[in-house]
Amino acid sequence: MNIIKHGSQNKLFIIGLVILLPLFIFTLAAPIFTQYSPTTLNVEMKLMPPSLNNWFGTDEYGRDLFSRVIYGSQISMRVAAAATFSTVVLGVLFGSLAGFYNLADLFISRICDALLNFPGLIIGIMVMAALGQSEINIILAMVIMYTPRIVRVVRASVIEIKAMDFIDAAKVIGASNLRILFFHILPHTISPLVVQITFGFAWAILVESGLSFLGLGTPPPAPSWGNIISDGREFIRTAPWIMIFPGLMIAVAVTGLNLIGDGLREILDPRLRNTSQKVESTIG
Amino acid sequence: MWAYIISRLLSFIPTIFISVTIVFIFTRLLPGNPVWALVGDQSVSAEKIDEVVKMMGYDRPIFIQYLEWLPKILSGDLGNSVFYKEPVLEVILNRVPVTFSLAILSLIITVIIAIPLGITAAVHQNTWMDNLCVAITNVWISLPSFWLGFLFIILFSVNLGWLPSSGYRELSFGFEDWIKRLILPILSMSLAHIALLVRVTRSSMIEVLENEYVVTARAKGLSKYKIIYKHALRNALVSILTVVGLIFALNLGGSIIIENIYALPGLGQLVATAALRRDYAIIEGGMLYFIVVALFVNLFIDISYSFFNPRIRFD
Repeated sequence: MNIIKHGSQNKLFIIGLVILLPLFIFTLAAPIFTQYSPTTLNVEMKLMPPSLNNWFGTDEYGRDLFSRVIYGSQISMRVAAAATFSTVVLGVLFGSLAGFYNLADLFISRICDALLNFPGLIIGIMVMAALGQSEINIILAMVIMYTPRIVRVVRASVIEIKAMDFIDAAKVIGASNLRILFFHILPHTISPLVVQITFGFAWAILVESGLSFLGLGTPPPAPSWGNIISDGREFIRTAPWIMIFPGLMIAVAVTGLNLIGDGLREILDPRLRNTSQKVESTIG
Repeated sequence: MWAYIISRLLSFIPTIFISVTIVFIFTRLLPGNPVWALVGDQSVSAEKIDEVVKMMGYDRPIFIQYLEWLPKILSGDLGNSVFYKEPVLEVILNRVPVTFSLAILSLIITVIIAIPLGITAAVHQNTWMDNLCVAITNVWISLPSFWLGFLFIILFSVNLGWLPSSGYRELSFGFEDWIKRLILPILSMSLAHIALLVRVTRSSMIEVLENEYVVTARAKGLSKYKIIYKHALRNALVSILTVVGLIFALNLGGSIIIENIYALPGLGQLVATAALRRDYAIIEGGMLYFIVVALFVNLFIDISYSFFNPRIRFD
C-alpha cells in the first residue's frame, strides 16, 4: 500500500497524526503519567481547582481529574475501537451480501434505510434502556447505529465493481461467487472503507460521550469522558474545570481523527472531495 | 413531476411499515413493561400487577399484539400514553412548538451564516482567509454539542448574566421571553451544523468553479458577482441542499442532548424519557413522527433540486 508514501506528503493526515499520537501515548501509558488512582476518594481534597499537584483539579469526591481523564480515555478509546471493529466486520458482511445478491439486498437495504431514518441517539437510548448500562451494551448500541452506514458504503462499491469487465472475465474462467466476492471485489472496497473507519471512530467517541452524558453510557465509578462531563454539570458554577478538561480531550481526539479521515480520503480517492458524510459525526 | 411525487409517496409505505415494525420489536424487547414502570417503588402485590398486565394485554404473544397494533398505527391511531393519560397525538403535538421553533430558527441561522462563509472561502481558495475557515470548521465540527452547551451557560448565563440558562416560555408570554430562552440552545445546535455546511458549500463551490463554463463566463467579461451567484452557486446547490435537508431533518427530530441541557420540553426529551419508562405508545408515536418527518423533508429537498437547477427533471 502506498498510504505511507502519500501520507507523508499529505498535510491533513500529518497534522491529524501529530494531534493523535500524544493522546494515544498518554492513554496507553496512563500509570506512568499520574500517580493518582482515578477512583480513589479523598474528601479533604474535593473540588480543588487545577494546581501543580492536580493538573486538572479534583472533582466532588476529591478524585484527581487528570488521572480520571486519562484513564477515561482508555475506556472511551476501547469502546470506540471495539464498536468500530465490529461495525466494520458486520458492515462488510451485510454490505457485500446486499451488493452481490439482489434478494439479500431487498431485505438488508430496507432495514438499513429504516434504521437510518431514526434521528441521533434515539436507537442508542432504546438499546441502553433495554439492556442496561455496561460497556458491552454501549458497543452493541453503536454497532446497531453505525452498521447501516458501513453497509451502504460497501454495498455501493460492490455494485460498482460488480459491473466491471474483469468480474465477467473471472466468471468466464470459472471462479466461484465466493472467490469473486472475496478476491476480486472486496479488495477494491478498502479505500472508501478505510475513510469510513476513521470517521466511524470519531463518531463512536462522540456517541459514547453523549450516551454517558445522558447517564446511559459507561457505568460509574469508572471514568469515561462523557460521564466525567455529566458529573461536572452540577458544579458548573463552582467548579467548571470538571467538565472543561474532558470536553477538550474529546475535541482533540475527534479533531485528530477527522483530519486523518480527510487526509486519507484525499490520498485514497481524489474524486471523493464531498464532505457531506461528515454529517454523521455531528450527533443530535 | 406529479407522477414522480406520487410514486415517491407510494414508496413511503414500505419504509414506514418496516420502520414501525422495527420500533415495535424494539419496544417489546425492552425488559419489563409499562405497568412495572408505573408501579415504581410503591408496594403493590405481584397478583395485582399481573392482573393489570393482563387487562392491558401485555401478556399475550408478541405476534398477536403486533397483528392488533399494526392496522391501528398505520391508520394513525397512536393510542394513549400510560403516563400522561392522554392520547399520544396530543402529547406529541404539545411538544411540537418547542422542537419546531428550535429547528427552524437554528436552520435559518445555519444557512445565513454558513453558505456565504463557504462561498467566500471557495472564492478565495488557499488564501489565509480560506485556511482559517478550514481550520476553524475542522475543530468546530469535532466539539461535542453538550460540552459547548455548558460552555455557553458558563459564559453567557453564569459569568455575563445575559441569558437564562434553561427552561422554555411559550411565545404567547411575549417574544422577548420566548427568544431569550432559545438563543443558547439555538447557538449550541447550530454551530456544528454551520461548520458542516461551510465545508460542503466550500468544496462543492470549488468543484464548480473549476468548470470550463466558469472560465468562459469570465472570458466574456461577466462580473465576478454574476459568475459566483448566477452560474456557480446554482450548480453547487444540489449538494448544499442535500446537507441542508439532512440538517433540517436532524433538527426536527429534536436534539435529545440540547433539550436535556437547557431543560426544554421538546420531542427528543419526550421519546428519550418514554424509552426509559417503557411508555410504548409514546415511543412508537414519536418514532413514527421522526420517520415521516425525515421522509417528507427528503422528498421536499429532492423536488427543490429541479426548482434551483432546471436541468434536473423528474419523469
